[in-house]
Amino acid sequence: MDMNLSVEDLAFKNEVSSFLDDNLSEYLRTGLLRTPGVFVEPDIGEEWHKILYKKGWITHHWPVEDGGMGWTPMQTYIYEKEVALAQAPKPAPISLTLIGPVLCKYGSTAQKEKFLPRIRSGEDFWCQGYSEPASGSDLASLSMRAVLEGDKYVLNGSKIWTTHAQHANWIFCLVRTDTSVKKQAGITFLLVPLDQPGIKVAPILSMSGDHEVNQVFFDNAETLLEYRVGDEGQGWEIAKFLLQNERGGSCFAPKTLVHISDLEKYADTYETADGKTMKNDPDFMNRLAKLKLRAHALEFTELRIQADIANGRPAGPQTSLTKLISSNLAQDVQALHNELFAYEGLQLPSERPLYHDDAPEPIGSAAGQTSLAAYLNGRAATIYGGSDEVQKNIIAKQILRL
Amino acid sequence: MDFDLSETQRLFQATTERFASTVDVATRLSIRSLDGSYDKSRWQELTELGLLSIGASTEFDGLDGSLTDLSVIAETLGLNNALDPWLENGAFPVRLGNIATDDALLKAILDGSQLVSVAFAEQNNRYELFPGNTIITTRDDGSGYYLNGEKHFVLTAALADILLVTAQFNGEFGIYSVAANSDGVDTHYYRLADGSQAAALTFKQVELSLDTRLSIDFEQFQDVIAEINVLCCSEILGLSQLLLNETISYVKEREQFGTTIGSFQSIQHGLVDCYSALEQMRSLLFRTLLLEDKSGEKWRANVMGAKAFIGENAHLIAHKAVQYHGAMGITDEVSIGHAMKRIMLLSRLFGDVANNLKHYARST
Ligand SMILES: Cc1cc2nc3c(=O)[nH]c(=O)nc-3n(C[C@H](O)[C@H](O)[C@H](O)COP(=O)(O)OP(=O)(O)OC[C@H]3O[C@@H](n4cnc5c(N)ncnc54)[C@H](O)[C@@H]3O)c2cc1C
Repeated sequence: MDMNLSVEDLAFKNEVSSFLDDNLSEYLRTGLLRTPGVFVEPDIGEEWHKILYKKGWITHHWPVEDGGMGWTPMQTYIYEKEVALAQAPKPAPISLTLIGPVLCKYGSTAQKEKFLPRIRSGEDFWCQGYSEPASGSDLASLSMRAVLEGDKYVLNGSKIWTTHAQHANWIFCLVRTDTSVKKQAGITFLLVPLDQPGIKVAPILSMSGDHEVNQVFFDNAETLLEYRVGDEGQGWEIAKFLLQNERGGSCFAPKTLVHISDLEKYADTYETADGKTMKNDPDFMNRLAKLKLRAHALEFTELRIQADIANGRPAGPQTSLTKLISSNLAQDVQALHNELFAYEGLQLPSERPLYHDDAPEPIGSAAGQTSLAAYLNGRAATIYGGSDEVQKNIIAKQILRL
Repeated sequence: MDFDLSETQRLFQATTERFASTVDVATRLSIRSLDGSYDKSRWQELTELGLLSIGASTEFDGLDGSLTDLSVIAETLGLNNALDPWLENGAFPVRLGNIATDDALLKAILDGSQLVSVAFAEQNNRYELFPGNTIITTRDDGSGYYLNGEKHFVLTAALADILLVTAQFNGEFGIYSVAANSDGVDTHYYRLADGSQAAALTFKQVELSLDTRLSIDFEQFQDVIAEINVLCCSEILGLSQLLLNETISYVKEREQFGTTIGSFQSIQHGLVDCYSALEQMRSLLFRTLLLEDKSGEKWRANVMGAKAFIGENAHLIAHKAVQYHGAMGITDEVSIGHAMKRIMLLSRLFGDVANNLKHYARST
């Protein structure tokens, strides 16, 4: 057991941190800090995307032959940690982390040639069409139909909770192509252009007032046969591969630790009636300390998984554990953050974005202004990407063998 | 021993229910998009129904209702997810007016002609009720007085005609009645968790006469706050009951994996936890309502304890309600989120869970 970074790792760490120092502008940093949503807004994301693209790091986690960097798991972790410390935005995760790797693994040569460069450059922006009104946790029950007519699929049905469909030009969908077989076996994976008469995108506002998710309606929408990924009926296998990436050989802890140390800083500036700061409130500091211990433990749980991967032992259902722990921890950090700001933490502006000059003046501090919306949006963390209950079922079955 | 409602209390309950149950989520959102984020005709209706006069003394044509009577109204408003600021702009100033025996103020409130907001919160004062930087000074020539300072979290301020401002004069606590449109009152409106509009106010040399001071001292003010805190508990209880009811119906209907999600044991157990919390919340509220002596430090500590307990458990129920609704629970289209946001506001009004618990622990 050792935790020493090799000479190469150390050099790498320095390279990453000096790149971030040189390139991450105040505008981008503030933009991220003042975005209460789950995902970064495209205008912030795109700008940072271009910078990473130029540097060549935008798809560092892809296979080398498709534009990846071939970093070791340790290097990837170092990178993610430096990015978290610098508070850099995470551009287009649906394009880069979800559909990109799927195309690298399952895409045809033509599909790779057409789509991968446009994902790397940021020219295409993707959204994910999995969930349906009647199919959430039980994804395999999905019913959106696709029927092959000549060289085209005709699509009817609807997808829901589709993050950033309002910004996207492509959607990848799980669709039902065969109703006569076992439900998992009748699912196919299709790439569908959004800009066409048969598709309507309707916004759904969340309780924070943010517009992140949508319902997407397909009324005789079309896509070409050549945009099918894999074979008919292979959709479920591909979906599972993608979900693994969504839950990730994760790196949640560094970001959470940064949020906790921010909270500590705010506590030191937040005055109470006696002229002292919340840092002098033992109860508050105890609760903060507990969060910190949970985050430190999470960091090592994640590192242990990275080490396993590096030693050739695939992570498997352990990623359900880190998803479960990190989403609950993030929610508790957001709750304490919001409590710190007392009455100011109850402000909930409806204007977006909050980082532009015409945004409303915060009452108190900018951090207080976004706190509640972030807390409310954060409630989604234990629902999307497999809810708490679903993760616990997986862990009980696959790890505890119950 | 009997914990049932009286005949009159059932009447209050029915009246409140009739008034509040007509606003569904869509109506709520459209009312929130009006100027001031509220429909003043609802306020008129609420006043005409007598929902404010119940809390006023008989000497001011009120019904001299008990705290339990008011609690029934608050709980019913919660159970219906009402967006009306009955508690903060109704019961609160009415109870202040009662103690101060302020005829004119009560009249203006009870006939619905004036909406009153109490300005008690200050930045850098956290939840402290004694005003820190809102100060009254004598003019240099001795001919009058000025109010200077600032408040935030002034609830429903955009529609307010009268502000009741807590301030210091010669180091002494006082509440002063200030016309909202007075010269020197600078207003910055902003939106709150429950969609209502609050204001941050700056007072710059606002001219004031000392007879606008309500005859109420700091002790009495804290006793009124305790009463309103009890009503917060009641509304929170109603909101929590609503969350549990809605979630129980939802999990009985929503199907995944070929069965209702309410058939999964983990969801059943989670909802039993909510139910058990709710029963305990109600019991502690009853205990508080039935305490003999409703003034002084001991009473106030008991109220704070109850509010800490009720606030904390309400958060637990709200989190489960959102969780069991899945993605639907995070939207603005179902009542769940609206109830949760109102719970957050009420459980933090005059002090949050941690703050209330600290006071309770210290005094018992
Ligand atoms: C902010 C946000 C963004 C999203 N973005 C996308 C997107 O871009 N694309 C996309 O396709 N989807 C997206 N989703 C949808 C997400 O994947 C679903 O919300 C999720 O799969 C849960 O489905 P559901 O919401 O229908 O809840 P349901 O499946 O109806 O679940 C309701 C409740 O029942 C519980 N439950 C379900 N099954 C069981 C069980 N077997 N045992 C115990 N409890 C159970 C759940 O845990 C939950 O608490 C997003 C969701 C959110 C909140």
